[in-house]
Amino acid sequence: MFLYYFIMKNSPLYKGSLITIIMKLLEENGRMYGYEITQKVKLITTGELNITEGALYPALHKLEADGHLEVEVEKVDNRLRKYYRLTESGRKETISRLAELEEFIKNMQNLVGSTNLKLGY
Amino acid sequence: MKLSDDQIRFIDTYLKNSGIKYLDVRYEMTDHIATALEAVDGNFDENFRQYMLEHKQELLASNRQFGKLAGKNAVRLILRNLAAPRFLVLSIIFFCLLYFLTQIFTAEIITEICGGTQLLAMAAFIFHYKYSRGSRNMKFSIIDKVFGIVAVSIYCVVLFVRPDNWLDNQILMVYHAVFSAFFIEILFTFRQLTQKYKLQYGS
Repeated sequence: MFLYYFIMKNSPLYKGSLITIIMKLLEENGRMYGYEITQKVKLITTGELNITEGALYPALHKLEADGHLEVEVEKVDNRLRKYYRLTESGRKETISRLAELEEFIKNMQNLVGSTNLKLGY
Repeated sequence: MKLSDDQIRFIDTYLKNSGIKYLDVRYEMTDHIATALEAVDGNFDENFRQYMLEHKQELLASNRQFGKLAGKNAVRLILRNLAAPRFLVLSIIFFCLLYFLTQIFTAEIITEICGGTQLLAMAAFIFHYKYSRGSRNMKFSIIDKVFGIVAVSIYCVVLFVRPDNWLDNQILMVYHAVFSAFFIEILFTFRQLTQKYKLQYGS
């Protein structure tokens, strides 16, 4: 449902990848807050992908509820900021999701490559 | 440009008035909006109005998802605590206590004492919960959902099932023992959640 709000180029191709993207970013950056994640994705993809609030926060909260993320709340300037960090189970889940994604990409490349050959591209 | 305390309060109040009632999600959304607004130049009021025009629906959708998830988490937490050995031990202790009391008093007296004590305990619990939210009615999601689920469950049992009317005395003792253990378990759940929120957000 929330993927509806995950506005990005060719969104059906990215279906199901939001959680993997978040976990990968957290694995690389240690701890991050919501707005930071959206900006990081925008920066890495040079504005091609845009994770909206309606997609990001439900995903973060679900990962937290599943025990894959832990939360630290800190006062920054004049407000509270919620930082997310991978737990041990989150780290394992990230590795497994990335392996799955890699496998998927490899299979897709093989499929697309073989189709191109047959079609004579 | 850093936002002032008044501007942060304005964002928080706006979100509250838009139906985002839980503090834990509101803190996060306030920070998100404030950080986004700090990244742009210009007039705060105009930038805020523009931001809300573009993002309000997403924020409300996120809030709805958060509410549903908090409900699921509350149910999961209650069930996990009820599945723990402590609940069984408490039920047995209460049953032994009630059984011992039946040797001294009649079952009717014990049932009345149990009913009265449970009613008083629940009233104290409700009063404490309402009081702890303060005059600004500060609510945290999972704790509020646990309260709602427990209130509805007890209300249904007391009002519709009415075990006192049709259970025989032996089974009634079991019912009161389990009910008392359930109530204590809910108090433990509340304490657990209060400590978690205090640790995260301070007092």
